[in-house]
Amino acid sequence: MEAAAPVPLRHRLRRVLTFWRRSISARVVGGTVVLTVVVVGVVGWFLLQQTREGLLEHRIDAVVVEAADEADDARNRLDSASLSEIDAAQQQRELVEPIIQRGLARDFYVVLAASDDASGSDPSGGAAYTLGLDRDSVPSSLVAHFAQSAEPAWTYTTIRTEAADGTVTSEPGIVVGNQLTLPADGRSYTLYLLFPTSEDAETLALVSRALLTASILLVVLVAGVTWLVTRQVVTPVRLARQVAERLAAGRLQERLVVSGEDDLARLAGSFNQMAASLQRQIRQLEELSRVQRRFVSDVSHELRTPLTTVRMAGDVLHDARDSFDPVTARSAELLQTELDRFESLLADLLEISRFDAGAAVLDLDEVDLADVCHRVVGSTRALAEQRSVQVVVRPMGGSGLVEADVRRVERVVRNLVSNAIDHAGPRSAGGPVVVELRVAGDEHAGAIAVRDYGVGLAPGESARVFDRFWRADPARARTSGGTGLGLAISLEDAHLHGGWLQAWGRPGQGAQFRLTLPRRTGEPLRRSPLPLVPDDALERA
Amino acid sequence: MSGPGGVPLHRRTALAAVLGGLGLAASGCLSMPESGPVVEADGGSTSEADPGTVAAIDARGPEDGQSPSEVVQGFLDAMQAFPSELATAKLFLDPDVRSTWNPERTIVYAEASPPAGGTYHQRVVLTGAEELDARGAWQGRLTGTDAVLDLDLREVDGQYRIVDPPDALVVPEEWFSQRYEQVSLYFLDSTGTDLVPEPVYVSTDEKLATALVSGLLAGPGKALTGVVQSMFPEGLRVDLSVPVSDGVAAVSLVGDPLALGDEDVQRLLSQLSWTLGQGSSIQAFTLTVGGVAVRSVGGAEQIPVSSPQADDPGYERTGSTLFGLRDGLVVAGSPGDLGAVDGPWGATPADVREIAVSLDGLTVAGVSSGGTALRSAPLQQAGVTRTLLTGTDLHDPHWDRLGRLWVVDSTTAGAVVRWHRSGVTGTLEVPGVSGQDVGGLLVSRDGTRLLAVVHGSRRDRLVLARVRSSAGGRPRAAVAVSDLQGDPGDLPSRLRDVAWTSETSLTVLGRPVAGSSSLVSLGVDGSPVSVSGVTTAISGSRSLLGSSVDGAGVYAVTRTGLADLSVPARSPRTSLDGATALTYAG
Ligand SMILES: Nc1ncnc2c1ncn2[C@@H]1O[C@H](COP(=O)(O)OP(=O)(O)OP(=O)(O)O)[C@@H](O)[C@H]1O
Ligand SMILES: [Mg+2]
Repeated sequence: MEAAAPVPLRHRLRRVLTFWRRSISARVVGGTVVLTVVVVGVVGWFLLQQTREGLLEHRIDAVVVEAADEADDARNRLDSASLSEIDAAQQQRELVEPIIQRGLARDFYVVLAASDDASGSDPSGGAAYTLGLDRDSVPSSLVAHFAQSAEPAWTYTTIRTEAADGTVTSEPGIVVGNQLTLPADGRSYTLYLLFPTSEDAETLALVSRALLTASILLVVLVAGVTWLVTRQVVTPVRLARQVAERLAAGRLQERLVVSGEDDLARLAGSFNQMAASLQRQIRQLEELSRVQRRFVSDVSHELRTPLTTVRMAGDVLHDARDSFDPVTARSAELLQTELDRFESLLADLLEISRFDAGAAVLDLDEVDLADVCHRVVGSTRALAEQRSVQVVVRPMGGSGLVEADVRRVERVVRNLVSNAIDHAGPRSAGGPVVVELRVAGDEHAGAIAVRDYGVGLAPGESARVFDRFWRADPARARTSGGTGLGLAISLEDAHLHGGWLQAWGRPGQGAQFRLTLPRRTGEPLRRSPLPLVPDDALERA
Repeated sequence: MSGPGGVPLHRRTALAAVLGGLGLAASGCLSMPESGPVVEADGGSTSEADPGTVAAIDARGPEDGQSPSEVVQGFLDAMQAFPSELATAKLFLDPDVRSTWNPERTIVYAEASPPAGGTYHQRVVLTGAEELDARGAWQGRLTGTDAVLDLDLREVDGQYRIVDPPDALVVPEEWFSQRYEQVSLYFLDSTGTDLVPEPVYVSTDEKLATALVSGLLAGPGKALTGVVQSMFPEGLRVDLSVPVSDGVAAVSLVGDPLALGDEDVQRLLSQLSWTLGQGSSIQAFTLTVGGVAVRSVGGAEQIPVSSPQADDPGYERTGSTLFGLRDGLVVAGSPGDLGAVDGPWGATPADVREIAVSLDGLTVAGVSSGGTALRSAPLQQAGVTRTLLTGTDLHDPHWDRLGRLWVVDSTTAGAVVRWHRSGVTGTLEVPGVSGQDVGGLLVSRDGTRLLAVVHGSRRDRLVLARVRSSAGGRPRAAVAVSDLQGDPGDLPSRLRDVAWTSETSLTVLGRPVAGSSSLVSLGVDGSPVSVSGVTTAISGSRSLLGSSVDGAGVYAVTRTGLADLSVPARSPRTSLDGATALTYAG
């Protein structure tokens, strides 16, 4: 239980935070509520404070006057008392009895104690007081005051009373003291009147409840109003977002519903205009691009027939070159070479335009990627030997069996290997020039990585290598053709399989190209069995 | 993305947290404070004592190292504190007796000798000392050892302190006369119909009301049983005091609640009402007995006080009317404007030498010229003359409010006090009067006081007797007989006449010495009264004319006319117009 609890909590918290981040209305409503609560809280607190001060002031004025009246009355009665009364205790009782009676009617408690007597703590004081009152309710500070001064004084206190059944209640109150002199013994006595303030507390509680209720209602109202207002604003924005998302996803015909004439309606109108304009331009661009591709394809086709004628003528010249003078023979050879290049360029162009036209079709078969590698290594051996480059195949484990078009896969790998041979260099200074082919596979995918240790790729080039006609150094010796279309076609081939073709390279550390193919075409690729960045590069970094 | 349940939940908790915080912040100001500093309330006592007409005296306490006589003197001085308090005086006492010393009586002295004596015994001799009892009733003069204060002292912590203080407040006469006043406690006569004043001295400070009510509660005393009565049951006690605020005296008595009939409650209230009505600051009073409020017949809780005069039914009709005889006819009116009455005696001479008019103003009684018969006739209405009683030498007839007609018969065996009421006659044996040579008789309007001038061999006496009556009003006995003396030497040795000047005071006329007769005022309790503005000597006066009714002039009857005693002696006299036997009703 305990171990399980935090998970949903954290989960929920994350969801809540996500919601918070994403919802404008939540943030606006939240902020407004917090602000309102703070303001209402401060105002309410201030009001309550004022009310309390006012209530207390009023009450104190009233009780001080009432106590003074009682004391005056008591003094008057004492002044009128007969001189022959010498029983101080009886006089004290007689003095305080009617005051206690009045106190019962008017809700105050009475203690009459000798002034120099510490109330409560000293039971010998013989104080007369309202039945059930705890005499400790008179604070000792006030008792101490009357030990020194005769001035009437008051203070706050807790009035504790014990009912007949023994239940003790305590309530806040004000105690007012007035000093009297009893003629019977000539001593000073203090008349303490204890006025409970619980009635005022009730009034205050009533005011507080009213304020709190009003505050809650106000906060709820403000939250509701804010929610309504933000909804008015946010709903169109949200709709606009959804439409924009759909537009971005290519559904260019999506439009916002325009209702009314307010700012939001005009925003929607502008949005729709923008979308319409975008759609138009994109259509135009598409049209333009289609026309271009059509043009390239047409040109390539138109060039094929004359090229065939030229080719036949070239072949005739080439075959007869031995009979030519050396300069002419050389020209015939050059013509042959350039014709080869032209032919391959044309082939590439046609291939590309087939991809563009969406006419490329897969001829699927079970292909073992390791076999492909070996075949490519065999077919490029001549070139490799010519460059004294050693091409090795390294199976990295797993089955390289994938469902693929073997012709296209071979073309991709051959291009990669010939590129690698073209740009290869020695792994270490003076060492052999090596190109490695790594093959690996798992249950989802198979991969081939071609690694060389040549010039490598400058930052940013790893993406650009797949652009059509892009070459890092256009002036470079075009030993193996070099039209700059090879990688573009390879990428189209990989995509046709639903696979990846990615490049990695560092200047001076060589490059690695990785082809990843799903075991079944159409299955989404999640990861490749081979790393894109080679392990040895990491080591050296 | 986020589940539909997650959002409101979060909101709810956030809202709860915010509200909780708000509540916490508010809770500080939701409760009332339960402790705090002591704050002095400004003001304090708002009611300042009225500036009195006499000096306030702050008593001085004992000082260390005082000699025994200084301590005694200090004690005597401290008792003069005013407004009265005994706390300071008690400081001069031995702590053992402090708490029990409770001076109930009052001793008033004219002069006190300086304290003299030894270390542990001091003596103070008082001259002109008079004593008042706990109620404040005048008890007479103190003579001999009674007028000497013998005080024992003891050393307490190196200081001399008095061990046996007198059971009395000992104050000088001057102090007393400025601060005490003679007022009356009103009790009911034996029939319960009339209120009878009993004079007492009370302090005029805030304790006046308390003293009056305490005096009423104490009752008239054993000696006056049957003469007057109080409606207050025994066992009642004043609760602390009777404070007067805004003219209302709050009379709160401790004891069992009253168990009296409506009429008796009314009587009790009128006792209080009349008694308290004498305090100038008291306009009304409330009465609670044992915590139960007593209401008047009208149901009012606050009962206005009333003055004795206002309630006196006879006052209106006959209060200040003068009656007399002129050419044998009965005349009535004001001095100098007398006219014959409408009754039979106003038309034909009635052959009487002395007359008395009943207090209700309906009947006139007269002593026949020979003094052998007492007759009566309606004063203003038509009617017949009846003979009430006969005697040897009848004189001084007087009516009281119960309709009793009193007369003295000077027989050969001495005077006899006789009375007549509704056809019934009787004789009242008055010790010290009956069988003596009685020169004159006065009867108070309430009929409880008989006052006789008794001629003695060496000097004349003024004898006061109280009349004990049955509940029906029939006189039973004369009790509490006493000689009124006043200050020694004040009273002339030979007395000619005596007259009421108020319900509780008298004027006495002496026999002329060297042509001038002296006039002396006396309280009905025998206490000396100094009435300002009353002439103290007058020449050629034969008798006095006075009434206890307020506003009736007091005159000396001289050969040339009536001398108003409230104006200077040389003022012109009012002519008598040949009228004799002048008298007020009563
Ligand atoms: N292994 C590599 N190392 C360094 N640069 C490379 C490597 N492979 C390709 N390149 C760069 O990428 C460019 C494009 O290669 P691509 O195969 O498309 O064209 P090409 O080899 O020049 O001509 P062709 O169309 O005959 O293959 C090359 O010109 C070269 O600059
Ligand atoms: Mg290439």
